[in-house]
Amino acid sequence: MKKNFLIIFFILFTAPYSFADERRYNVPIHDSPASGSANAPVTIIEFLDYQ
Amino acid sequence: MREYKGKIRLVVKHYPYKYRDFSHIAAEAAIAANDQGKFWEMHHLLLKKSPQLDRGSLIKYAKETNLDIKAFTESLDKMKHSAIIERDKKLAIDMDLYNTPTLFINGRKVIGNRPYEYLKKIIEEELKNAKK
Repeated sequence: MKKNFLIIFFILFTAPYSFADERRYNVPIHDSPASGSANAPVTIIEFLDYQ
Repeated sequence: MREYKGKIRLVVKHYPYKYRDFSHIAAEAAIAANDQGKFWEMHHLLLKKSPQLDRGSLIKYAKETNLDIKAFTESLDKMKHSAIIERDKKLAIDMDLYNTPTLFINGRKVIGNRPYEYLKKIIEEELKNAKK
C-alpha cells in the first residue's frame, strides 16, 4: 500500500515538470500582419525587433 | 514557410527594444507598408538591411518597395501606428518576453533564433496533433 502511495506521489510531483515545455500561451492576433490561411493548422506568432 | 505551404499562418508582432534607436521607427515603417499592402516586401527588406534603419534609409526602402512616399513619410513622422506597436510591446512585456525573436507555435513558446530543424520538429508535432 505504502509503495503504491509513494509511486503515485512521485508521479504527481514530477508531472508538472514533464509538461513544462508543453504549456501553451493564448496570444491574441488582433490585426497584426499575417500570411497564410486563417484556417491553417499551425499558427506561428513571431515577436521581433528589426534592429 | 514554403515547405509547409497552406499549413502555416505566420503572424508578425513588433517588440522594439527601447534602447535601440531605430527599433520603433522600423516597426512604424513595416506597418506603414502594411497600410499600402506591401508588408512582407518591407518586412524582408528591413531584416536584410538591418541595422541600417534610420529615417533616410527607411524612405529609401519605401521607394524600393514602390510605396506612396508622401503617405509613408507622413506615417513615419507622425508615428501613426504607435498604438499598434505599443499594444504588441505591452503584450510581450506582460508575457515577460526578454528576447527577440520569440515565437509562439500554436501557443508553444520558442525563444531566440533556433535552427530550422528544431522549428520543423515542433511544426511536425503540431501538424500531427491537428490531424487527431
